[in-house]
Amino acid sequence: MTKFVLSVIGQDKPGILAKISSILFRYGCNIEDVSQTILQTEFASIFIVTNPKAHPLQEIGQALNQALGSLQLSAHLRPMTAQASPTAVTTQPFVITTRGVDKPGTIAAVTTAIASLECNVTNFRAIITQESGVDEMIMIFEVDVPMGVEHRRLRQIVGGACVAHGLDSSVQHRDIFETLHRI
Amino acid sequence: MLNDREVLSTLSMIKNENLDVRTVTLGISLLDCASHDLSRFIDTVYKRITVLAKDLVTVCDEVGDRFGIPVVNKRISVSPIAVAAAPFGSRGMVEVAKTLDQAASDVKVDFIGGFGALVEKGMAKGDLALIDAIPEALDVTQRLCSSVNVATTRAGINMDAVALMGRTIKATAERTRDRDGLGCAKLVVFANIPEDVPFMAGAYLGVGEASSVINVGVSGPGVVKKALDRALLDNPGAHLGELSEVIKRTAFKVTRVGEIIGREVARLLGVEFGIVDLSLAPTPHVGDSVGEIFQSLGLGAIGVPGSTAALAMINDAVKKGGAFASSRVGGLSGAFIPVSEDLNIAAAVSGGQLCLEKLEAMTAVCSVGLDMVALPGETTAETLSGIIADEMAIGMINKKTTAARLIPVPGKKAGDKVFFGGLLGEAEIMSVRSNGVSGGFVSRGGSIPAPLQALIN
Repeated sequence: MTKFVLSVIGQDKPGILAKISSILFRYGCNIEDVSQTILQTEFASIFIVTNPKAHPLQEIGQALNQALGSLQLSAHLRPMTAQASPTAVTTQPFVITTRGVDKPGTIAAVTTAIASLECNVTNFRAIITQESGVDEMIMIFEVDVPMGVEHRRLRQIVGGACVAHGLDSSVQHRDIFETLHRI
Repeated sequence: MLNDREVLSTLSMIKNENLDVRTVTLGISLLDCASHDLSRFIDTVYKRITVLAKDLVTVCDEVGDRFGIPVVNKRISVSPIAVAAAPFGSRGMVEVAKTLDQAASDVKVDFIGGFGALVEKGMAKGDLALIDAIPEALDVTQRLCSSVNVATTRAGINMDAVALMGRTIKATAERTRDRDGLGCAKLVVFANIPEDVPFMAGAYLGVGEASSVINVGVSGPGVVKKALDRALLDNPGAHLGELSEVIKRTAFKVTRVGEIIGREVARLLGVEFGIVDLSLAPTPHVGDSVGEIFQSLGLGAIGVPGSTAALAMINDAVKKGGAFASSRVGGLSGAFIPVSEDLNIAAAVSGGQLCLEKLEAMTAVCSVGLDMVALPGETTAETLSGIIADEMAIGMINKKTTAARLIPVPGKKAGDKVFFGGLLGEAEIMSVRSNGVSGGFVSRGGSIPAPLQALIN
């Protein structure tokens, strides 16, 4: 069974998902997994799609872009080849949060620090607040931390990168957030 | 995926509202250390504590660090020494006290509790020896805490023990005169003492408990106050039922934190997890006060008319929220109102809004009792016993724990300031009305019989 990854981005408006799913249905495709989000006015989505009749991706791509072009959206398809690694690293879920004045380069600094310890960011949001009168950015990274990486080391590396950019940071096991708020 | 509100509110609770785990207390049974030989007993006790608790502080710090929630105090509670060391006299008891203190110091915990006796129905040889040793034991140690249970709902009040404890408190104050009677800050007299209290000075490991167990005391008055303030900002006309709900929800969250940390510490230490004590325990810092909650609820200060009703509501809401959050609830579980340990309560004493009698009335609906109350040095032993007896009666009749931690500060009078330092805080000395006229009653001795368990209206 062939699979492909489809990403669609562009200005948000009603009917985008309906259009995409109708075209995929026409080609006998099945949507296995989907995630979508809206940042300010922009729509972005990613789909994992099975293609049982092995229609050429170019053909499906053309059909999608033709239909979506008038909506100022673009679609990109590529075959999915990744397999689950047989030697997957055992990890622990942590949440890294940073808070500070929004300046260029902060996301790069923090994510570089996270990547330097082979930690994988599984979810990332940035929120701009004006609680203290100035634009502040709160970044929330959900991160899978390999078992071999001590959380103190992670805190030290991330904390160092944050301090250099005037950010406060915290590194906490994900369980504490779920425990506190969910039954 | 976590939502933003979950993450941001958790961070705010930790960073701005003093959310922490107040104490992780390792209970250690010493009953099988029993020996007729003092040096052998001391040796076994020291080894038992230092082996079992050697990693307690490291593990608590490691777990607190991982979850980003500070574990403020790491403590140890042991079997009641009057039972474990029953063969020894008061000299021997002092040696045991020194050993407990040394062990606590060597494993770097801040307090060790259990230098105590259970005498609600009568006093055996070991009990008398222990009580006799209390003044010296609390003088020559730094980390030792002592508690004596003199009453239960089922046994009544042992008035001989109450009289003896009045004299013991006076003697302890005198022995620690140079420290404003500090020894008394580590000595509590109880009615209906729970066997699993993690909070000092009352912590001990009951004889019905496992050989070692982790009990956790949560805190969070600052979190409750901020939650109330936010609710009132959103809805200034909120009625008390709505505010009670806010306290309940907040207590749920605070307790969940205690539960996850306690279970993880217990797992890493290879020890059974005991209970979470759902208490609002203040510290002498702004923003970590039970007294401030009263002001958020609309009272001028803790102690003014309406305070007992407010405390009843707070205490009940804490229990309801906490009980739902944890599968193992125990200890004292409720709101603490320790005078010197809470800046706002201490200020209410100085401001004249809170007097001893109102404090006593409030203890009828909260989880402890007359806690960290500094009294004039001239308060007689009989008057202290009278105050204790009153407090014990509240506990006995209402089937609840009550306690008295009274500090008659030598050489000082009502209105003077007293400083204990650290978490024990500072306060103004409260005045005692009618000092020295309770001796006739107290000295009669005997027992006040247990109340009926029927006809309870």
